[in-house]
Amino acid sequence: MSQPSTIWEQLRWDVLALFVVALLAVGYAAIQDPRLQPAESPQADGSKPPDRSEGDVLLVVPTAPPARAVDFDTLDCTFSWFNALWQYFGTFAMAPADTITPQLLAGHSVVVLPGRVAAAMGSGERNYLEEFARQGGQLVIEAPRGDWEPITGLSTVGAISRAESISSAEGLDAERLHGEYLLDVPLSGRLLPAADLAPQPDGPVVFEIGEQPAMIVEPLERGHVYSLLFDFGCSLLAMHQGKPTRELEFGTPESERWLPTADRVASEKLLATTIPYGEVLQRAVFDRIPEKRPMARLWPYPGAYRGAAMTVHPAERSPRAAFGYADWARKKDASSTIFAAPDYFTSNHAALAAESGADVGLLWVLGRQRSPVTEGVGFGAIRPWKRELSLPRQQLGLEAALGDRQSVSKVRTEGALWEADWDSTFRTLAGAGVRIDNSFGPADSSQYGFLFGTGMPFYPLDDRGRPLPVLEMPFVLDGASITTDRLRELLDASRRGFHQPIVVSLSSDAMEREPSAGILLGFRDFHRLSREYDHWLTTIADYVDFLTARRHSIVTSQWSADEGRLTVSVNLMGARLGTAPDGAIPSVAVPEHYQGRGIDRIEVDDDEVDLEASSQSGDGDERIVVLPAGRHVLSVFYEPPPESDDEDDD
Amino acid sequence: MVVSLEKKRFHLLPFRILLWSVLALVLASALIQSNPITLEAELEESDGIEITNSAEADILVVLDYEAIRQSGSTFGERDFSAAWIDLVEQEVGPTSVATPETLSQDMIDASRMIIVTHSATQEMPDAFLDRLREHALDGNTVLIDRPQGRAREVFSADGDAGSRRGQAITHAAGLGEPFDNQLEQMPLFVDYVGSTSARTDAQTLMSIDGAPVIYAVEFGRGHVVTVDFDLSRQLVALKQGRPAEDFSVPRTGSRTGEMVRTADLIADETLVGAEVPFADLLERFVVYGVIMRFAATPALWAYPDGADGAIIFAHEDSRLGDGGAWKLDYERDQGGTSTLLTTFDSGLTAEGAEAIQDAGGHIGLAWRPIHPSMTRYEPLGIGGFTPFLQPIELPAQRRHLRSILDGGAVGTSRSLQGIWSSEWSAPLEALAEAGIRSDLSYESTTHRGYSFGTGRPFRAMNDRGMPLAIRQYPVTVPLNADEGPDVDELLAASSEGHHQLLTIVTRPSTYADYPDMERFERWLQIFDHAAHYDHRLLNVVGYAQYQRARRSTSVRSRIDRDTDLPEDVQSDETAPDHRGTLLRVTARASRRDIYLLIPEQIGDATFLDALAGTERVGAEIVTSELDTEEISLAGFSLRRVRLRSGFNNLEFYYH
Repeated sequence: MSQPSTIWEQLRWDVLALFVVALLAVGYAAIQDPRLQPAESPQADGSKPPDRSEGDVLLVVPTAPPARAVDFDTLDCTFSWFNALWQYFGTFAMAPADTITPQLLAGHSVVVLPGRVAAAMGSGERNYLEEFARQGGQLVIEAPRGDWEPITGLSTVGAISRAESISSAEGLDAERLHGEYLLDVPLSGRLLPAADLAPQPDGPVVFEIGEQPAMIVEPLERGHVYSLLFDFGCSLLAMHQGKPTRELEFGTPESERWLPTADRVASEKLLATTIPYGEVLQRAVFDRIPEKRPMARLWPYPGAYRGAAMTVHPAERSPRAAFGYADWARKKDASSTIFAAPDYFTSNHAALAAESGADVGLLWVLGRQRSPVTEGVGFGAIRPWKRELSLPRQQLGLEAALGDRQSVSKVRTEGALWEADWDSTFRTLAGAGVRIDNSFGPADSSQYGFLFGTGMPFYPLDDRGRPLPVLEMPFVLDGASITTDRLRELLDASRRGFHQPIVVSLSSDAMEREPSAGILLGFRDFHRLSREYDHWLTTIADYVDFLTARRHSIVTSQWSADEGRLTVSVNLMGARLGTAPDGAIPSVAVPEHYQGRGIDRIEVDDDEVDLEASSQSGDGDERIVVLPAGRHVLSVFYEPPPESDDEDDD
Repeated sequence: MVVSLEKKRFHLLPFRILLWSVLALVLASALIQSNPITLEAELEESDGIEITNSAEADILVVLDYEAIRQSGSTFGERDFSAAWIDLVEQEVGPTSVATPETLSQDMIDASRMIIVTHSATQEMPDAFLDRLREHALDGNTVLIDRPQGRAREVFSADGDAGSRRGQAITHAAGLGEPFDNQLEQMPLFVDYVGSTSARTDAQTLMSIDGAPVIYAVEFGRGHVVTVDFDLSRQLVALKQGRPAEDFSVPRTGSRTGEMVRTADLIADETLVGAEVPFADLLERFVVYGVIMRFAATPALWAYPDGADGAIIFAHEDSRLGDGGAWKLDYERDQGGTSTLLTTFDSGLTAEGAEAIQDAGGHIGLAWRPIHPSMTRYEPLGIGGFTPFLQPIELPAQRRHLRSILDGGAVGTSRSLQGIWSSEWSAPLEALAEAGIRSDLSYESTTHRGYSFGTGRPFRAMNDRGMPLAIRQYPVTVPLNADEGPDVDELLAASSEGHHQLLTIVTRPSTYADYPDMERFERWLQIFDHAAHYDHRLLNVVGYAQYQRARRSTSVRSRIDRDTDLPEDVQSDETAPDHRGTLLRVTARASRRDIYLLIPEQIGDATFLDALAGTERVGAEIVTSELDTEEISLAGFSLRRVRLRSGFNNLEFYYH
């Protein structure tokens, strides 16, 4: 029998015991501080929305998908027109360029050709469009070059420059609300050259950029051609979705991967403004059409409301304070939306939310400003790893707390942070089936208002320029940026003519992070002021449902210049909503004047409308006709022209 | 080389012991490091201060600190004569205070009213007694508190019926509706001195259970007033709280077993949420119903700019840090300010503190009292090995906050959540020793109102009857109180006669937990009510500064009876001889917002007119007419006039 020969051999059991103790200590430490596996969420690509044949306005889109953009200049902004038309008209038709035929065009009053479509348009389709205009159609062409000269009457040969801002709007009535702010609209993209022309009414120029024409309206026999020599779609897109600082990235190369959404704004001046410059730009273009040919659009709010007002309450941790705000809203006969973190939201909270009438969305935890939402990974009780939950898993967690198979389709990102590239976060949201995101807005108390040019929701575009099936709905005030004065200013501007949805975001922890009396004063006054300024108190989900119904409605019209009569056929869809129990049905807005002539009378389904009892838009440009859901025919009769005046060619 | 097994085992044992000992030591160290030993904390005691003051004032308070120290050791036996100082300072303002050692003939001669407290009557030398008698005979007033021996024989009823437990005040001369009824509702905690027969020449001013307890006797051209009940103990019990006889604080009601709170000090359950400030009503009866009735000494109005009252906003915070003062912006917009009472560890930064102070805010300490749930600890040990936890006590908390304030003063405090000690005066002593001069810890946990008999700050005392260098501001509207009179009711009652300070404590972080908008609206409404009822919005330091200026204002007066009225004030009413009474007042004020109070009536003469000596023309002083306004203070009719900053020479004529 061999004998131990060294001290270590003698102490081998002691050493083994020590090793076991050390192992246990390491294991304990691993359980106490497990390693984190980052989450990976699936992403979706954008796609072309389905074609639609009915509508006064036809948007022509490219037949073939564009290539992936490498920078903003190579990005296809066609579908930014989709957002503009959706926001302004509410409903419109859409067809690929290669499907254009005279028969297709016959059903529309206005055809819109985005720059890429115009550039790729074949001669056959171009001839159809020329004929359409000659027959009385309104043709809007973005960046027309070369072959379009016979139709537009413009030569755009020469060097292309950059569009920065509108330098002159002499062709517009500068005293009108929208004209007043047009010179401040930040522009992006190209500016085509053109010969010097006189502004309206002596010439065809509506407004200029850099001392050269930017929008020109020329008659073409019975119709008109509206030539936009700048990138309208890209300018709008940059305001909505952000203007990259390099390639398709935001910030600097040293920036964090996740940046506040406010870092994406197209211009510094957008960081604090009560003017929705995107809306101003849209109106500068679209309001020109009814000047030549009256047409109707669907009012973006039910009834005669001048706008909409919503509150949201992101809760990165405990949602308790959010229920305080929601409860106040309930007492004021209103509702709000709580964005809840899945690891802090329980079924009791769900019951409280139901009690206070609050809608619940997901606060997508990114693990940037708070600890990530995780699950343990390991064997049995020993879980030395933690796995961060992806967006779909976080949705599932919240849905489980909400019960009743409620799907969570509204999202706010933690801290309103966004990946510093063009579309990753949008693609992740779309990949998770999110319908509405509400993360675009001010990041500190100095920022407020329409940082993204609008309060209306818009579809973001991916790097191929295709819309993603998620709506971004910006907020205009957040936390310490809320003051009664700012709120009043926003609502007043909205009532006077901008007609915007106003989303106020008040975080559950706002009174902990940046407490101020202004926050509570502003929130206290929110519902009263919203009513005082004729805004519909609703929730973001209800408002989007309303807009969806609006989009599904149909509007077509016929114009008889001889009779001064606009005949509008509508099929109105409504939505029965918590904040509109009797149904939210879009009203029909028609021009209040045509070439200086006011409305003589309006008939709906052969019954005359009491004009005294009906409403106007804030700027007095439109008459709002409130109708029940269903099919109706409106006949709008304009006063006859004074005998001494010349008859319009139309 | 082969070594025997036995020898190897013998050599291995030390290694094995060393190995396992080191392991045991490491494990023990890790265990104690993760579960350190907590050290005990104690509150520092204070001997109190001997207040003596030779001020330019009409009223002199005489007390004997040695007699106070020698008094009995129980609450019932302890001599609280020093409460008289606070009484006069609260109601009048400038006060002279003397002890037998500091009392001089000049001080006596300069005083129109001498208050001889119980402590000074116990071994009163005959010579002093004679001087008091002569002083009264010369037309002055002497008030003597429960006299003994020869003093009683000379000035008061016999007192032979001995000490009796008082049940209720049954008569208060001159106190009108509703204040007389209110005073009768005041719970009494003290004995009175019964006499077998009242003095036949005495005028009874107050009775307890039908027995005279304040009565006046005419002495030559003056008066001597006897107070024959323990007024000072009654005031101390009402304001500072009524402990058990051994000065321990009984836990009340359902909170047995919980931590002691200041609410446990409330003298009687009927006082919880009281709508009437009983202590102030009693004090005002003594000053305006007794002293001013006989001595006609002027007083100074208690609030700046002649406001009907004042509100102090104080905000307790332990988590918002710089954000704890978020209400200040709105308060400033409304012409007010506030005090932020913040814990040393709330997260307040030097920049934040500077911004708050630049905005007119005031910062005090929300101190973490000794309680397991409140106390913060700092590790104690060598290097990284810290086996002990040392509590961060009050002085260290104050030092820490001072360092944030860049060495600025931290003279105001509040015990977090009103948590107190089972010893009556121990926290107040510790606060005073730590350099705190104003504390806002006294509050009911459930009710708004005057649970401590007053809304105004009072000087605290230790359990030896000695005054402490700290004033306690009882909270009228506590943090979580949702019972008792509403703020607007308190303000209305204050404006109509009680003229109170309302201290309103809020916790700004409440809105971080749950933003109760209705509570927020109630807070906003306070500003409207304050404006409506003419109450100034102040912070603690602003109020304290005003009171200091008020106390340091010199006010001297003289009465000339049966004097010729100047032509300016003569009328048909004063015909035919146009003679009356003149109250001449000289005052030197350091601020322009101090108002002087004078009686509407002196004896049978009613106020006629007021003149101010404004400028000297040659050898003559040219006078100008003064605007006075009538004011009611606890039902007593008075006149009020604004003092100029600097010297004031005022003449008030009565007929």
